[in-house]
Amino acid sequence: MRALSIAATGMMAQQTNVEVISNNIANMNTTAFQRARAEFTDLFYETERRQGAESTDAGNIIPAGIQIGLGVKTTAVRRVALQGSLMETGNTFDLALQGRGYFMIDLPNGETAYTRAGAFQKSPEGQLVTADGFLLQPGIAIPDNAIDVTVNQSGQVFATVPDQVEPVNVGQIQIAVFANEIGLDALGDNLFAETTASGAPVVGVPSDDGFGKIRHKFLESSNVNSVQEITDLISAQRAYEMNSKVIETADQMSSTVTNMR
Amino acid sequence: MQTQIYVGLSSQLALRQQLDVLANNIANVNTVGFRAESVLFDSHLEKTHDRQTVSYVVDKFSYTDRKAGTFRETGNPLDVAIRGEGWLQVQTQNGVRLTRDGRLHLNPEGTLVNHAGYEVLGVGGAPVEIPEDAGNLQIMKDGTIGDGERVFGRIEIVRAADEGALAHEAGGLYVGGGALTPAEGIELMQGTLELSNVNAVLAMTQLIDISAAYQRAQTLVEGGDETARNAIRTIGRIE
Repeated sequence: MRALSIAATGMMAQQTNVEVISNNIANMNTTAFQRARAEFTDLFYETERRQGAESTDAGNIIPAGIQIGLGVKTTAVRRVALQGSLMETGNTFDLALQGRGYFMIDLPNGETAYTRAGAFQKSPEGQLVTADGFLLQPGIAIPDNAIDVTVNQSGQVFATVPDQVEPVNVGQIQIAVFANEIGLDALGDNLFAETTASGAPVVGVPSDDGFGKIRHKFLESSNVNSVQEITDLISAQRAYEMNSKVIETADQMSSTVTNMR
Repeated sequence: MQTQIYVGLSSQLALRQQLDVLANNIANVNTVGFRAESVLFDSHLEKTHDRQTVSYVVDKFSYTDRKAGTFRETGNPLDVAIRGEGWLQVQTQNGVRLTRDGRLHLNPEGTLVNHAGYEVLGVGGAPVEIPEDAGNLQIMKDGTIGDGERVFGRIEIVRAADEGALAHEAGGLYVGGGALTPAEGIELMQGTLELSNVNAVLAMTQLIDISAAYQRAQTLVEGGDETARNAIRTIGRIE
């Protein structure tokens, strides 16, 4: 019976769905987390009687054939790159991106990673680093004697130092955009890496055309919508139950046959 | 005497077929743009030697339920749903295919593609290219795609001459259906997806129906067996 294996593909798909939803809910309060969504499509079809074939030698054509689909498969777990809401934190080194773009981070292995989580800190050397101590690219050095630091929408960093009226420009933050940002590879720790699917990064200055703005002293919240996740969870669970019901029915029908005298 | 068994058997075979189709519908209850399949059964009449008519069950063809699925708002700018009977076209290696699955993506070159990476065709059969510095994408009701200031192209929605002849392919694609013409008055809705049109309640009741009908057919087969056995026994006694 094909129904057994077809329903099994359905159950596996819904299991993936629940796993993705649970990861979304678990990361509801992760800075700049982008929710993922499991995407499904139908599997192959078996054609038992082909439409368009001639049914008689007089040229009559079968208008519709018999096609039996073989179930469902998960094609992608797609990140939904929607803007999360911005939350004011008041921290001097918290930066949120409003619009497109990713901060560039130097990984210890020399590669560049990309992130939207702008909760930076100052390293002992005065440079801006992530929570794990990875350097922000291009490097921004904050003077030791700085009283206050401000970052404007275009990513220019100004430090207010004693005995100077005008704040000093200490650097320019640059961000990267991608043709297909959902193709980025998630590395964990809010970091992403470039892939062939994402395309090469285009580096630019915030607030330029096609680049997002920087909001100083704000953080981007996750874009997880709890109501949506819970309704998705309910529908995934029901779909799982329905598929198990199909297995039960197929099993009953088989046992009817087995019990034949 | 054997007829009763074979009639029951033809019904059981048809019911298994129906269960397979139903199982596929239920497996795809959360598949975007999926349309349920149904099997149509017919009776096959045969005259026996004593001029009685016996009717068997045959599965004639499967057909696609063309009712639209429910629409769900996702807020994702690259999700589109088609309101009305129309199709998106994608260019596969085997030619143009139709789909109602509006989960669009951009590939690294900035071309609009579907979830499998096939180019979505715009007006004139050309793919739609989105430049790198594009702002927030907006897709209008007529398929025009732009960022508020510039227009990058228009996604074409088409209609097939013979929708009944469309055959399902993997990945929510359809093939066949004759000549394609631009669809008039069909709207695209951005940020929305068309869910599967499988009716869960109906599917569950069909499941119960199939199971019950299968058992009834089984009784018929067993009855035929019983009759044959009795006949043999009775005839044996007469001799």
